[in-house]
Amino acid sequence: MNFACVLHLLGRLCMVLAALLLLPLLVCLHDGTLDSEIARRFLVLAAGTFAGGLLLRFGFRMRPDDFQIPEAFGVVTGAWLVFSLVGALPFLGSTGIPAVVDAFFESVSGVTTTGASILPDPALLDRALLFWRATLHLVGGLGIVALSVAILPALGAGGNFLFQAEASGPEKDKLLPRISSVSKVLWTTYIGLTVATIVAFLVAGMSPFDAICHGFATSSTGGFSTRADSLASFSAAVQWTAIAGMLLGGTNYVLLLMAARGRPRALLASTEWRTYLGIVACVTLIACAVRFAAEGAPGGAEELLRSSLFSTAAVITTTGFATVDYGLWAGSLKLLLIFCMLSGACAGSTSGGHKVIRLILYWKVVTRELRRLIRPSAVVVVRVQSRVIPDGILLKTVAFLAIFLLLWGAGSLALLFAGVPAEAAISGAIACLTNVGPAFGELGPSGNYSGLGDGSKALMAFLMLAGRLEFFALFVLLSPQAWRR
Amino acid sequence: MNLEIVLHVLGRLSALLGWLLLVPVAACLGSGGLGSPTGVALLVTAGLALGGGWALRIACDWDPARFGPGEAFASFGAGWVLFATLGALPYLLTGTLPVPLDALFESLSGFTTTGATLFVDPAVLPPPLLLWRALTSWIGGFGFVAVSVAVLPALGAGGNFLYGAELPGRSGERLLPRLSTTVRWLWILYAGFTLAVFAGLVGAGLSTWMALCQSLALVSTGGFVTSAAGLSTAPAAVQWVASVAMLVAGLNFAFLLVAARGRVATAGRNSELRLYLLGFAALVAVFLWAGGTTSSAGLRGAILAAASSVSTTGLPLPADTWRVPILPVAVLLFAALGACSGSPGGGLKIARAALLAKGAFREVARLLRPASVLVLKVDGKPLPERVLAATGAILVAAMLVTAGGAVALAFMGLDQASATASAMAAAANLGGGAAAPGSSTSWADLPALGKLVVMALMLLGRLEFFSVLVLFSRHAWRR
Repeated sequence: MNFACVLHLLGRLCMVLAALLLLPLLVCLHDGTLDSEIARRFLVLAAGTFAGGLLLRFGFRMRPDDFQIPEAFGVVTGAWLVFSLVGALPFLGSTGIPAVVDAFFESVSGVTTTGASILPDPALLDRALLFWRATLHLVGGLGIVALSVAILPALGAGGNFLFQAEASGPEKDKLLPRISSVSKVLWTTYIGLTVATIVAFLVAGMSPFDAICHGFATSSTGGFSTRADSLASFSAAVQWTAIAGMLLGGTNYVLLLMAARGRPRALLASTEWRTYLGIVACVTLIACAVRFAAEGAPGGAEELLRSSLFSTAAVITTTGFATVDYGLWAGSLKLLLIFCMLSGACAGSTSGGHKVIRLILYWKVVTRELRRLIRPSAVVVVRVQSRVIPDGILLKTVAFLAIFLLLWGAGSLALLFAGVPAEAAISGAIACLTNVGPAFGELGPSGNYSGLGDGSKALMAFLMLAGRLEFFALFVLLSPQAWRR
Repeated sequence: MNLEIVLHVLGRLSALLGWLLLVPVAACLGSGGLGSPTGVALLVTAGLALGGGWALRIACDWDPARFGPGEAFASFGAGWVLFATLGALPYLLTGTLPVPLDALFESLSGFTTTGATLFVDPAVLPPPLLLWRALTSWIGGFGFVAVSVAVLPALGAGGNFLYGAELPGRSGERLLPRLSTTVRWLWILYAGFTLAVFAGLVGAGLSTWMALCQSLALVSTGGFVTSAAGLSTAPAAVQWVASVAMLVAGLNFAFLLVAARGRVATAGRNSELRLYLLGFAALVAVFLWAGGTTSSAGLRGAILAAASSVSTTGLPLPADTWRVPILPVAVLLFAALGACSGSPGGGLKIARAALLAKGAFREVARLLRPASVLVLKVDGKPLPERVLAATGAILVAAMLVTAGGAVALAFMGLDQASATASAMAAAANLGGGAAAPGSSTSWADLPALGKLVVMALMLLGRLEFFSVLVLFSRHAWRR
């Protein structure tokens, strides 16, 4: 790995980060608190990050040939670490987030769009900091590097590697000849969806500040809210808006863009998208039925459907908003929600988890094996939507499952060792790996992560990063070959 | 698929079971006599198995040329179901388990070496039936070893030649040249091992009768015990013998065979064996840590529990064992990883888990060098890609089936922890006595549908999913 090259590029990314650090000042400007301590802190941090970025950028030189595959993984992992670390700095010492580990946890949770919080009541936090949490979501949603590739032409040459290392899903298409144009297109769609969500929230009656913060957290499928009870105390219209926003956020952005441009056929024909909506519909209906059988519908049929659909959408898109405490539901529904956590939404969206396309491929791996057992000499080709899936992709898909199970098992055991109760430890490890946020037990929708020990918090922050980068980019750096110069 | 050939094989298997049923019949001579209800029930079952088997053998022709992988897999799946059905008759006819589903549950639990039992106190069973119960898991254990070490490799079926076809030593040499010879050697080894454990248990102070039943259930990693308290209150010496027996039973029998023929060093160079022992040591440490004790009794208990778990025997342990939340989770995870391949133990099997880990990290390495060809090696030998694909498919199938089972059990009213624990314990053939580790619902308290789900999981887990799933594939039924 050519460290000079990696540091040079990280320097450029720091300058993007510095610009982002100025955004919360807009809130201070609106509130008339520009002379407050928190505004000064953001200003100092922005200046410091910018200076650091400049130093790195001009202190280390990069020749175009230097940028190869190992460097791409170095930059991607480095970028996420830098953003998580610098993103934690504004929280440090603020009321509500006293400890360093807590600030780091909150920042990682934000930038990985997990939405797990150590804050018992976010409303106590300064508004600028609340906005900063939402900004972390927005930036992490489609990927830091995708953002940088979109706005930094200098990354163009190696951008493809970078993009591949960060993008989600088993198969990464190069949709347009230039990767920077792909990034631009995706980010335009993403911003478009975010703005549309914010406008819809405003129309539904949210205050502008809440609408913006929740809009960022919805389209990025993050899940940070400005209130302790998440979206529970907002109106039904707001909740329906959030449902739509989350479900769209879990849709493949390329297909979404095509649909927005008047070509919905590709979206409607997508096996993955149909399966995704099918799962949402099934789980919602089952949840409605089981809950109705258990407790009736005290809030009426609409409320039952809305809260069931909301919870399902919040979990499967790995957003993690809540309007009811689904931790109190029957065990069968909890297991179905765990399945939704594991599943995640579509590849190429902002959601975490395995992605529905991987579930489809898992199924195909099993049926392929069945055919091979009966006809040992047959050449069995796996197809999704009549497109042939190469064996290499299937190998990688199974490898993804194996690494996921490894991290889940080891993570759960480590949390249990640290004294976390069983339900919280096992579901918490999943919720972090899949970037959902709220889990079950103590870490459920009505609880938070503040009761955990420092070690557990650090471990869970690692699980979130590993899950967001879909493991491979992170694990590459464990190989000595990546570090060879 | 050729149904006639499958039926012929089933006929032979049925007759074999008929002969084996004569063992508990003989035991009746010493306890209660042939005229007792137990004796009659066993004799009727033996007669049915022998007669039915003979009829099938005569009625259906055998043609080795048409015995392909499809027929083989169908025979395994149907064979286990047939054994479980016939094996359930003694429970049913004696009235010890008057409900047919319950009798089938107990019998299938035996033949799949799961050891999940509906008897809170097995001591109520008449001694010959107790022996039959232990025998079911002994037969199931041997059946699985024979199929995985000898039959599947001989067929070259799927990726299953992972098991024993390629042993260390002279490379490329098959374990023993002919299938029947291999099976005979395995039989001698299995019987010899059982005798050794029997002698050890008698020497440690168990009565001959108890030692017989217990040794059959230990060497097969079944885990049936003969009294409510099981082995947890047995004398120290008995616990030590049982621990060693279970630990050895979880080893690859192909390697045990190599070791038994004097090539101990060759067999010891096996990475799966090392990982297995490492996992065992780790689990002992977890039990000691959770128990907070370093007394010799604590160590002995930890070793017994850990050996029972890594070998997927699943001895019944006192309920307060699961008080520390990490213990049931760790036990279930280790059981899901499984024992060594080629052992009667269940679970994914350590060789598979290790192979999948290697495959996963090869994909990571491939990211750095997308164009390079990376060959997967196990113990220095390259492994065909086909094996990795088959192994991945088994992992995925295990996950899907276990998760589906857990959700189904939860819909029958189990809480999420009990549903998951029961599904995992059944699919890994762990069992765990009257209830799964960490489950608050005993097997006997499951609703009828829940018992069916658990039975399906036990069978799928034992036959490593694909032998059963193949029967539901439309390709299998196409001629």
